[in-house]
Amino acid sequence: MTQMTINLLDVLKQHSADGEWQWFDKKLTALANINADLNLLDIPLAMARRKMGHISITHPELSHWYTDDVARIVLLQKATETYLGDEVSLIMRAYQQGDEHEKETIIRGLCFVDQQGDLIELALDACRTNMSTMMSTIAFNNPFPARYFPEHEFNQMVLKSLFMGLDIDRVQGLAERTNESLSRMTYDFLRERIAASRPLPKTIWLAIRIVDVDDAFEIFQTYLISDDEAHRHFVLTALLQQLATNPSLIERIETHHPQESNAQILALINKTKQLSNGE
Amino acid sequence: MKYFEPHIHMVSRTTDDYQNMAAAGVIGVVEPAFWQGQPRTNVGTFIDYFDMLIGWERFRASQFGIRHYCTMGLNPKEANYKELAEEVMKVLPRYMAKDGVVAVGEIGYDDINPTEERFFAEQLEMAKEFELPVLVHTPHRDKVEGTKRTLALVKEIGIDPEMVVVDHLNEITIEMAIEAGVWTGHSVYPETKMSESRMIDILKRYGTNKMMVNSAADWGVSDPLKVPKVGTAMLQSGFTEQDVEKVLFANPINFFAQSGRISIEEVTRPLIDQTKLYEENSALRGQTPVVEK
Ligand SMILES: [Zn+2]
Repeated sequence: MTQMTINLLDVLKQHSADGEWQWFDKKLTALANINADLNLLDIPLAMARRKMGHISITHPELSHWYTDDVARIVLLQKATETYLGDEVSLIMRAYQQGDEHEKETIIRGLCFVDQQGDLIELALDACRTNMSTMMSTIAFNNPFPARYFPEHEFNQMVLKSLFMGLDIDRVQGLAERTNESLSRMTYDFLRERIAASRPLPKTIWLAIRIVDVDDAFEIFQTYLISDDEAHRHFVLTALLQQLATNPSLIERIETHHPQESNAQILALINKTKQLSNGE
Repeated sequence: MKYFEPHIHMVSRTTDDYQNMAAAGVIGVVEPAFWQGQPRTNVGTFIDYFDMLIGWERFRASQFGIRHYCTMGLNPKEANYKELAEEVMKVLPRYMAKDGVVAVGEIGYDDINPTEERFFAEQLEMAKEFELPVLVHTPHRDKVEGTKRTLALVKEIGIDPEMVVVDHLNEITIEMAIEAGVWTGHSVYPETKMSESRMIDILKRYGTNKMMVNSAADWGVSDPLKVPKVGTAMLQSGFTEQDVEKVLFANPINFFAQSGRISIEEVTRPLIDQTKLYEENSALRGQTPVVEK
């Protein structure tokens, strides 16, 4: 729950020039009258990118956040505090009326405006998108799905990301949320890809547990010595993650790649060797 | 050559069109809100259409390396359904504030009647309020009268002509537009109306200042490659590459840049695929993901 303690208002202030901050502060104060006029929220939400810029936030826990994201989420936080009606419907309304960037921001900031999972319908709606940008926003670097999605919906999100050609290593909580059904779905998808002679997504391994589909082990082993370093990396990462719950796996992993030159992968191999030596 | 298409209705076009336009050098488009070939019966369908212009269509264009902007407005044809038009007018302000909305439009006259004039005038006021330029459609029937009344209304409302482009002009209507000081738009169509060669003649006769050319391609017979085709025709008839770039790239962007929401610098910057940003940060390239503890 680390994200919740970040004071976004402070973060925004640190990243704003004086003129920008003046504009924002005025709009924030005006939200006191939101119950009389919802435009007091709608218009600054729409204008936030132009007024506050689109500048990368340097905070370590806000990777992929920009100044306009922070500004919009602070506006929503403030608005829900003051609004006398239903908070969920206020945020849903902002989402429906938003352009693609406003929508993405609301999805990126779900855990800052909702600490109980009340916005799950909105989050699931975001997963129905055909836009890879939106899919990335809900699925990656976002604590909401792992926290609140039921198993079926979580699995669908992971599989759809793979279908859309996106790298699922950015799904927060994926290792903790993998399950038998996800393993099977993903393994079926993997076999379809192989049958169609199409390349496999590099991160697909992270969604398959050997304990759920033992047949998959052979393919893991093949890709462990793949020419593609991304495959070697993610196969090893996946196997290492599974060792805690499936210790017998260690005896079956053969990690030798004759010309391994990638330091990160070598580190993973060494870690595996240490574990197999019982260290 | 690089081109900017200042008036095209991409929601009606296929992915082939996007591919061909990108291959021909089009790197940005403006999609004016217009009617869909058959009148809408419900404000909800307007809202969904407007949302598509600032969401899905923008994303679709980006997949082909094309920047997509739009203009928002109630078109003159549908302005005639007065009650519905009043409802649309109520939702329009929130769209005027959106990024990527670079003008009010296309608005203007179609049948040239008082109802159309009322909503035309109200939207000109809205443009003043939001400090946005205006894209004005001139009627295809009775064009001279429609253009005359358009220019008169712009003057009456008190909008700086510099902030107005009057579109679908031809040899007959261009002079009064130039005199009024507005930007001049020309739609080049495959069969009837304006052709490439007539466009060249206009440019030779009236010069390149404040001149804009578009395909106005939509769901009817039209050609989304007309802007690059006019570029080729210009070069063949003795215009320089600088002339082509001025009329078919810089002019339209500079016109819409008066909104403060688009610039030549922005349009020429390579389009960043936000999805790629996620990939660049993937674990293999050195950055560890933020994992919830
Ligand atoms: Zn049009």
